[in-house]
Amino acid sequence: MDVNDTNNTTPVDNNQNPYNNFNQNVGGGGQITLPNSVGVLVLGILSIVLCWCYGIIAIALGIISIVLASGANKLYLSNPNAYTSASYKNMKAGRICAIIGISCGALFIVYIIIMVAIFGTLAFNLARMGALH
Amino acid sequence: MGIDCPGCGMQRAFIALLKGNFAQSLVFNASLIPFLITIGFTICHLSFSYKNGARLIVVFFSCTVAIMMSQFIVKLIASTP
Repeated sequence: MDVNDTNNTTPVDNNQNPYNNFNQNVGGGGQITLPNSVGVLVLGILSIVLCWCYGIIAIALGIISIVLASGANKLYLSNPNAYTSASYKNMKAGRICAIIGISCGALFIVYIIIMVAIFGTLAFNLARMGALH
Repeated sequence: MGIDCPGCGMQRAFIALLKGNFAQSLVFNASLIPFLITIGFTICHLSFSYKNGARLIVVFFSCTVAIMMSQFIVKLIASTP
C-alpha cells in the first residue's frame, strides 16, 4: 500500500497540511515525525545548563523552544493522525523543560538584581564614609 | 565580589569527574552527574525511542534542577557571613 493512501483514509482534511505529502521521515502507518520536536527537547534541556551569564541565555533558549513548540503543537492539532505520537510526547516534554528553564532563569535574574543592589548600596555607603580611599 | 550562580563549579566538577574523583565532583557541583545522565538518556531516547522516554526525561530534568537549586541555596547560606 502506498504511504499516501494511508494518509487519505484519515477523517481530517489532508489538503490543509502541506507537510502531509512529504515522504521523508516516514514511520509506521505513514506517519511522519513532528517537525522541530527534537529541537524543542534539546533546547529545553540546554536552557537550564546555560544559566550562567545572568540567566539571559537560559531565557532566550527557553523562549525559542516554546515558540517552536507552539508552532509544532498547532501543526499536530490540525492533523493529529499525520504525526507520530512519540514525537508529540517529545515535543511536550521539551516544552515542560523549557518552562522550568525559563522560570529558573527569571529567578536567577531577580537574584542578581537583589545582590547587585545590596553590594552596590554597601559600596556606595563605604565610599561616602571615605573607607575606600 | 563573587556572586555565585547555580551553574558555578560545573567545569571544576567535570575535571574532577575526568580524574575519577566522584566525591570532589559532587562537592564542586552536585548537578553535573544527573545532568550527564539526562543528556545521555535523551540521546538514547532519540536514537531508540523508548516507550515512556519523554516522561522519564522530564523526571530526570526536574531532579537535576532540584539538586542544582538546593545545592545553590545551601552554598548561599554557607557563604553568608
